Amino acid sequence: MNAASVVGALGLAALGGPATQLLGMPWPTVGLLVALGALLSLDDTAWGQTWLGQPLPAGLLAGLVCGDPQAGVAVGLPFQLVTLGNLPVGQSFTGEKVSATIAGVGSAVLASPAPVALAGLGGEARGLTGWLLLGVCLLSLAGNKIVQLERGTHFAWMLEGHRTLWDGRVERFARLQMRCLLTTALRGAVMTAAALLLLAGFWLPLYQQLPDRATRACALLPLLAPPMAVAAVGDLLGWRHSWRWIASGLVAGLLLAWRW
Amino acid sequence: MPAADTSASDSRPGRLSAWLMAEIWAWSLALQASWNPQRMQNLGLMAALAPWVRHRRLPLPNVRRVCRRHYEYFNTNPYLAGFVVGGLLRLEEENERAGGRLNRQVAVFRGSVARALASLGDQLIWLGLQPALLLAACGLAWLGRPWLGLALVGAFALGQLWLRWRGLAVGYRLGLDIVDMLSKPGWHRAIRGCQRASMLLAGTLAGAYLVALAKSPAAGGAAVAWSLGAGAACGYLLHRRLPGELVFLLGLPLALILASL
Repeated sequence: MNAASVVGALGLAALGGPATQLLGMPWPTVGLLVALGALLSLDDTAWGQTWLGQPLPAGLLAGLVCGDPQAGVAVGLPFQLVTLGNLPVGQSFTGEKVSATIAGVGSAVLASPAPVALAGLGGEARGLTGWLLLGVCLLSLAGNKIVQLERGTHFAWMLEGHRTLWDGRVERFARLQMRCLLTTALRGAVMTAAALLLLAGFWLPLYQQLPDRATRACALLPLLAPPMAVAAVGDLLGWRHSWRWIASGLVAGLLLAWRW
Repeated sequence: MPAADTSASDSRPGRLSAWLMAEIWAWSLALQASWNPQRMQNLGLMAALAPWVRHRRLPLPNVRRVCRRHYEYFNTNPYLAGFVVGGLLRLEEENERAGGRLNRQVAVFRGSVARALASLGDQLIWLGLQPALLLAACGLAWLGRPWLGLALVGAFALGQLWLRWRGLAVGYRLGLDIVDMLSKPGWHRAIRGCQRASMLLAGTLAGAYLVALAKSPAAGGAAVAWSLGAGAACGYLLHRRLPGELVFLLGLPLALILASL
């Protein structure tokens, strides 16, 4: 067997898994998730910026599309807390959270080997939720590169706009802007579909192959989300100024939860 | 028929027709769509100004001048951009009436007001309102009321659309006087309020979470210790400006070590 046939066999095997997985999926729901990915990607970086593309709202909406809003909360809530410190300020934009969240929720509902529950405080579901969150984080980081690439192409289109400085055709600006909007929507749709394919076809089935130690480690991961949110707020606003307020909130939270 | 009144010879603004304003507003919502690392929102700004330029039916040399003036580096907070865009429309009209004598003033206005609003917007929106609102939504979801959390985000969505419309109208009405509006202490009070709400909510969420963790039979004290210890390590990594996703991934080796014990 030569190297080419080995690579070919591996490629077929790689494509076969997700293809089989996808064949069993309800296509109208997948289509709706992809459309949601396009819309919320537009909202996240291009038009409106209403924050409906943030992980928690996006997760809830994706859960609603799949008929299981609780799965949306299970993925969206911890991921929201994990990424609370990511500021979408111009160049410092990090992570492509929209497609990762929607694909995370979609795969959890449509292809998960077991129900994914809110990254709560016990039970089997926590390990699977942790594993899913790892995949969502990886996809979000990978997506950031694609967003930066897209922004690089904006520069080329912006240069095209210089022609208007000579011929005075201002409608060119609207055309270029529309091109950017369409690219963002297309990017959102393609990335959501690809992320869904990867999570449903590879990532979630892998969970059952993990050794016990790894599943126990995955079960610990969702517990990181709330402390990360506190650390992010303290860091963003400066610990020196914020520790009194955070400590007051902590005491209030402890008392309220203890009584409740 | 031009949509804005050009007959006045004083500095009072004309009136933007509702349709023209809606068109400018819709394009101003896409200010970030063509964000590029070199000139940031310049294409977005020109797309927002383009309906006004078209409606004014300016002669070609004037169109070129307006485009050259504004197709430079431009960056501001998208939620407060309406104030700059409205102010620029007003100043461009005044400049036109003054026969182009205010060219420099218009350019300085754009740069300085955009910078001031970028700074205010970063403090108020990104560092104040966003964490506060999202933490409140997370708290509601944690309490089993995710739809209330979604409603909160929906209310913000509608509110910011209104703010951007209002910003356009106010900016156009005030023109250069936007500077007075920016110096009002209310901005800083709002920033402080939002940031304190974020801190309080973060603390409350953490407190409630720790109690729930300690009470849970499947978690218990060891989980509380892990959560606190790993949280401190994550805090250090976040301080190094690593994105949250990467910090979460870096938690895996730590969790593997703990799971092996």
